[in-house]
Amino acid sequence: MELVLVGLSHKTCSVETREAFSISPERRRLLLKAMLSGGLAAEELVWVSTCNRVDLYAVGKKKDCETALIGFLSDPSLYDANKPGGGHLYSKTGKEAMEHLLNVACGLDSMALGENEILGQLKDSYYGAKSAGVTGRLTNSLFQRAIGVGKHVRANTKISQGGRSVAFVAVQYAGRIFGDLANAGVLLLGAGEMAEAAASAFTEKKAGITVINRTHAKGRELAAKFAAQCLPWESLEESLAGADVVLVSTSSPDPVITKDLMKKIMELRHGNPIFLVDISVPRNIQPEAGNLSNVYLYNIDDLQRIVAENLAQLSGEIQKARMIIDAKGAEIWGKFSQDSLVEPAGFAGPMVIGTRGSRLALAQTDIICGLIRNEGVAIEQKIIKTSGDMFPDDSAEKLIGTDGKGLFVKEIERDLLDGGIKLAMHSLKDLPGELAEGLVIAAYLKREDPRDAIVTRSGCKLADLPPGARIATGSLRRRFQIAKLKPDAVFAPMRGNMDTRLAKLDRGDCDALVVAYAALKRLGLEKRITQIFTADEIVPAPGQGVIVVEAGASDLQTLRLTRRLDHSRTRICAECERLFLAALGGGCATPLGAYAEITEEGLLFRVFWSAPDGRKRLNLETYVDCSMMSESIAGLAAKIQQLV
Amino acid sequence: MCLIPDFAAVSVWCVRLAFAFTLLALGFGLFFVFNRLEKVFKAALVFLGGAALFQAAAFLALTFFFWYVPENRYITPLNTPRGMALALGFCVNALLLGFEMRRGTGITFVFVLPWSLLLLAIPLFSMTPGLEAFSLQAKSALSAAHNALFIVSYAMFINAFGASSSLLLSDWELRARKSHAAAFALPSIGDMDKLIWRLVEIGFPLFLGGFVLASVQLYMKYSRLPGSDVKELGALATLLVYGVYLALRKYGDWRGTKAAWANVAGFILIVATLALSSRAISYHGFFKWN
Repeated sequence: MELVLVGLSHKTCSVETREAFSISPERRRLLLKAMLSGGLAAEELVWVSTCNRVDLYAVGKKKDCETALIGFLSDPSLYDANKPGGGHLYSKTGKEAMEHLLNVACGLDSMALGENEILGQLKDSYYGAKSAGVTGRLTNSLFQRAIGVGKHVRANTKISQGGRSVAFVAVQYAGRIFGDLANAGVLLLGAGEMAEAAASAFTEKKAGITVINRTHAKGRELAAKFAAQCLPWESLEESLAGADVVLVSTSSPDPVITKDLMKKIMELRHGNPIFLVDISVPRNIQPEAGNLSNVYLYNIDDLQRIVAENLAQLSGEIQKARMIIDAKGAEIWGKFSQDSLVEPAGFAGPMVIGTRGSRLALAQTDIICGLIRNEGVAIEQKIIKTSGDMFPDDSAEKLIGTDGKGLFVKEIERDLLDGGIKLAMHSLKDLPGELAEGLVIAAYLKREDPRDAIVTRSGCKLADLPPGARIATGSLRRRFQIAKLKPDAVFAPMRGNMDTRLAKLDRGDCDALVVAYAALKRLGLEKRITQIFTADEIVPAPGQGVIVVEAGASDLQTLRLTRRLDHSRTRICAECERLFLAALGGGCATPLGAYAEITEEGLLFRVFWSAPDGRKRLNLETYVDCSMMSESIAGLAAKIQQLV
Repeated sequence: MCLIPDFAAVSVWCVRLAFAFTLLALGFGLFFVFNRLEKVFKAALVFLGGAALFQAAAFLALTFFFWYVPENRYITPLNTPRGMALALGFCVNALLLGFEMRRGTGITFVFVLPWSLLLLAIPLFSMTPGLEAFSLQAKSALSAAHNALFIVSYAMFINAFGASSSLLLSDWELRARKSHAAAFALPSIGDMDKLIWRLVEIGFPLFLGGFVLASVQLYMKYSRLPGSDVKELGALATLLVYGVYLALRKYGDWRGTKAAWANVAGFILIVATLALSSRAISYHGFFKWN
């Protein structure tokens, strides 16, 4: 897995190209769709789309991911095969991509060097991706640190101080006179390029703009671009009296604002300060007007001198910023490398993973062992008998009556805490909402299809089963949801491992059996399935289809290894489901279904809840903001508790 | 035997601590102007709050000490230079703290706190107060009320002067086309103009109220109207300057620099009145420098 960046910016293409590829809501949906369908070959993704750039940061397989991202930001009509990235794109990987992000965060890659807006835009982009559930361990850490570096550079250098353009300086100096420009009135006399640049700069500060131009049509054209007001030349005096900032860029041979006119205007203004900016050559504001009390007059020379001073000062500040980026970049990259580095020699002897002894548990453990061996670490399995395994024929209700939670994990967790094993394999749905103290879920493996499936003896679908057909399931969640689909069904409890259950079905103990699709698939028994229920028909149990690796919270070496097995999107969905489970205080036998799925619209969360006696039931579907998951889930749980 | 706390010593220690805290607030305020570090600003606010608390404690201790003399029990030490300086210093700091907590400019620290330090220097460098009975003339509710009103309004005018100084410096910087970093730390001219207006708008009626009470007191005790000693003349002139400013700000064009200069004039009158008045006239002769 590699950090991959593909993007385009004001340095590589025109504004038209940037506009064409900016991430609009529609393109965001396309991007997420491509990401979720595996079309981007990426595990994690963050997009940064501003007026000056469109950057896509992804974590994935270097070549495939890069090609996919280039495809997303390219267009055959714009593509120049002779240039790398088709002429308008740049592509960077690894440390180079990280350094690019740091430069962007610090404003060193901006059109106006050192500008502050980019840091806010970067934050918004990151939280946008996070709330869509497509960020992960690497991008979370990288963006949080990059934002930190951006703040640090601004606090420790003067990179964002001082204007870099005449329009920017005019805005800054207007701020020194009026403070917040949101309530200031800006009058533009003239409608040329400079007036447009000033209009753009003042619009960003939310100032109210009025345009007056001798050619009214041209003035109207400029006003329309900035949702400003356009007045005729005759209303100049009246407009001057009401304006706080006046920018004159006319090309009149004589001054259009004289000292006498300003005296009159100042009386009308009751002495309120006014900022006059004369960028015309020859000057169109009489210089003596600037001697009046509370009149501040700047001409083009004044502004250009300030810009030149600022730029001279800036080169030193850029150097300082680059030094900070180098130091922090090395630190960040070092941390990444350290995180991802696993030395097999660090483990004395083979690592031991604890598991239940069922065929399914062993098949799942084999998956983990394979992944760990791929990392160059030796591993062996230890079978541990759990309470759930000791009484295979007892009904779920009876077992629940003894404790209620963690039937299949208690003994394994005890061994993990005692140091008998380093890792434990669990089906996430077997894990209770709260783990034993000192243990953590070290990795969520990529989720298998979480849906429920039915296996019937006759090979027919659920709807085709005869009235009174006996359907075996030990789960109240499945029972209540199937009862809705087939009210005339009769339910029978059934426990035991998959082979036992299937044998009982074949023997005629029941007519159908409802189990997790993932379990059958992992055992190679997909052929026995007669129908797979959609997540809308039967909401899966929280964590269904997810295999997790549990480890000691203080065993850092093991955690560093298992982090490499973690699948970030599965983690997000599973954490959402588990948070919900914990909020409602349920265990593996609670009649509760919760299924989170990352879609192009966001994190879709489906819930089924029922009272243990089945009298009260609830089905709901909502989108959850991943960046505020705990709050959203707590709110949802509280709402459900209120409803029931 | 009952142990009586040495309130004079407590007051002296509180003054020392208040002086140190005000000095630290000023230092941190200055540092904030050039570095704009939020933590530094917060530290300045904490020191300013500490200074205000110690000033209040110093005044309270002085009051208890003052009440050792039975004849003094019906009045406060507001009529003594030490008490007046402590009360005025406390009001200036407390008011500034209120503004800065709300506005967070930091800059007014630089223009107001030097005056606060000067006010604290009076009790700091004068001798420990002695125990003596106060003049009978001071034993008047009207006297206490007019002093309290004057002190609160003076604190407002001193803060308005700080804002005026900031405004004039901004004006000078803008006309001189200066673009160094600290210039950008100055609050905007528009904001300072509004602040000055608000302060004087509230301070002036209080000052006028104090002046009316003082005039009533004068007429009742000495059958004359104010205007015959330095303090009375100074107060009258101060009243006139701020009154004219208010009228012309509202109905004329006294905004921005004109407003700031009017407040500078008012502040000079206040300083002159306070500095010259105490020993000049017999009615105010109960001000004894310790």
